Amino acid sequence: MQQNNWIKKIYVNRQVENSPLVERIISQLKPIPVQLVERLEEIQAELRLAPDPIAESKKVLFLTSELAFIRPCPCSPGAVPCGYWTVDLNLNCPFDCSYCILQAYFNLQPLTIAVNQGDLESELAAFLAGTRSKGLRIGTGELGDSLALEAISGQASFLIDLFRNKKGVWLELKTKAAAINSLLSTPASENVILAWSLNTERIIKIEEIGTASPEERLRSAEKAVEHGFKVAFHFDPIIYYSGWEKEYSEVCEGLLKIIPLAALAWVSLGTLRFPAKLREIARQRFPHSSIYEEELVRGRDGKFRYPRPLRLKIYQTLAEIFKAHDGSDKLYLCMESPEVWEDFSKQNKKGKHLASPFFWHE
Amino acid sequence: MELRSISLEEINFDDIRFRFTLDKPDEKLIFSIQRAGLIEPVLVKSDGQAFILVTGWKRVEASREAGLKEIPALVIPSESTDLDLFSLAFFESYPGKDFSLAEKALIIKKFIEFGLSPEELIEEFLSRLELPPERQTIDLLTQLASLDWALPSIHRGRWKLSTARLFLSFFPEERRAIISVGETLNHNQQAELIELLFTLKKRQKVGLETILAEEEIKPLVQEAARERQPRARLELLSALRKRTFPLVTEINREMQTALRQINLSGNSRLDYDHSLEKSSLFISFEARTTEEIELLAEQLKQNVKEGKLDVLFGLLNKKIDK
Repeated sequence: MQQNNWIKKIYVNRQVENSPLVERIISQLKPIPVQLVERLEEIQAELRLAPDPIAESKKVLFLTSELAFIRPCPCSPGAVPCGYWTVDLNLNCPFDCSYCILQAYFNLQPLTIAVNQGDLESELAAFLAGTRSKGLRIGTGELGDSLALEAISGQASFLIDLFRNKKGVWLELKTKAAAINSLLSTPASENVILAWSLNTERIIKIEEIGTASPEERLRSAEKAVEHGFKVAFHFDPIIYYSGWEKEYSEVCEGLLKIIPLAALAWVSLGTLRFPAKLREIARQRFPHSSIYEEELVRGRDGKFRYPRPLRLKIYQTLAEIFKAHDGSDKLYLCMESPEVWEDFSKQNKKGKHLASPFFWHE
Repeated sequence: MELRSISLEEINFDDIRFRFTLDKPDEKLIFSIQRAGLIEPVLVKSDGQAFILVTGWKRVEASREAGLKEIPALVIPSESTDLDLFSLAFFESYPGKDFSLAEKALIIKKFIEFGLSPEELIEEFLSRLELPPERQTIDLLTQLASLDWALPSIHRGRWKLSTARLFLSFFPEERRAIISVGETLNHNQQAELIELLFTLKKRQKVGLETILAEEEIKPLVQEAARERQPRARLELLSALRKRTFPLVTEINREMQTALRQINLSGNSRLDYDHSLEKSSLFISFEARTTEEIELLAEQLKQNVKEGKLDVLFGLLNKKIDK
């Protein structure tokens, strides 16, 4: 993913054709063809003709402007929300993960970079002035990978500088990439967390096309820590398969061996969950994958999950490893029900997080 | 166009190039034609030797059933292209007909055969047929339309695109087995059947034949093939559910057994979330007097004392060891 050689074409919204960032990106990606468009729909009309429009949408770059960047993370109805906010300077992702919700969430969205990032400065100031939440977490990895397009856009570096020294706010940059060299030329900031989504080698190889291996991710995290950044990890989605227990345990042990607890901001755990629409798309796009064929039960929010006893077993298995390293306080569950949270907290948090399960709110 | 009366014998029924509707004439239409004749003329084109039906298949079939020898027809000038005529047939039905997926598949396939490009289909027709306007929809429906033998079942079952997509992922001989086993089930049941078979096949990494030959499944498949009633097929569905959801099925089975041990008066009910997402019990009851409430409270107390409710809570909080 470093050579940007997967990009076949660049579309530029006519409104931003004179933006310096547009000029920089185009010259950097020469000789990739460039086409001016008036509207996103023009690109979508071309994507529709591809045999796999989603795969195609990951091969074209759209440089445009966005009206607003900061949004609350939608969580899931019935789940305990963690109060996360997203800042979306880019949309869609060049990686192709079989479980990725963006396949169902976007309607043919090309890899999109908002080149009017300067507008975020005033939006962020107004947002922070209007919020009373303490321990606010805001991140870029929800609608795209935080670092996959960094070599092209430089947006992560921009965000680090923008958030530097902002008290009571954590900026999280979440990725499945390993290339962080450009960030290492920027001084670290206490409130900026570099985060990696982690999975077992088997799952990454089969289900996360184009992403870095677990070892590469951990090595990059180690470098980030050496540079002074705090880091976070997201075991999400945890996939149940024959051998999961041993392989996930190895990844957790590997993480705790390399990353000192003091540098670890948080670790989230979340088992596979998805709406029916995603399964329909993914089964077609990833016929080799069998993650959708385990015992999965449809919940009241319409999403499929492993049965609750199995989810608890999975969470507890991983939590025991962190417990053994005094790290269970760093754990939280993503998009889980109050029932599962309660059970998990009783076993791993000595009951102290029942009122507010998220330690950054304390 | 010339309006004239034509003999049914002059129609070449083997030429179905413009046919995309799959409904058979019902009793009402036949009765109406018997009593009043065919009022609305059909559209035909002449190939010099016989007439080819462009629209009105159901009406013509009903007329035959009603014993008519001649029907009114509008004869279309021979210079019209097949694409023009098929468009005419489509637009005649489009405003008033809720096309099934099987019919939509035939429409797409025929438009392509008559020379419409995928771009034109995407632009003009797919959204109007409530289909995703993408190239892959065309590919999928063209493939579906080629399964002539399955289209009547797919039509009757009012399948959705997602069901068809899964169905097409099976091998040809497996598709025949699915259609046979799924006959007489309603749409939701057919969709569930295909979903369960797909899941088991992929999970176990075996062919459909192996799944249908499993000890618990085979007798039900054989019974389903013998019986026209859906009972055997419903039992088969239930057995497949059990195979697909072993953990949830087992806990639910134990819960049902434990619930049967609870003694409560007739107008009260103890229940739980069968998806097992919640670990709580729900009690609903109807009472007209305070005595009835007292009786229920007493019965609950007795069940608590005997540890019967602990069994239920134990199951709802069951942990997996291995």
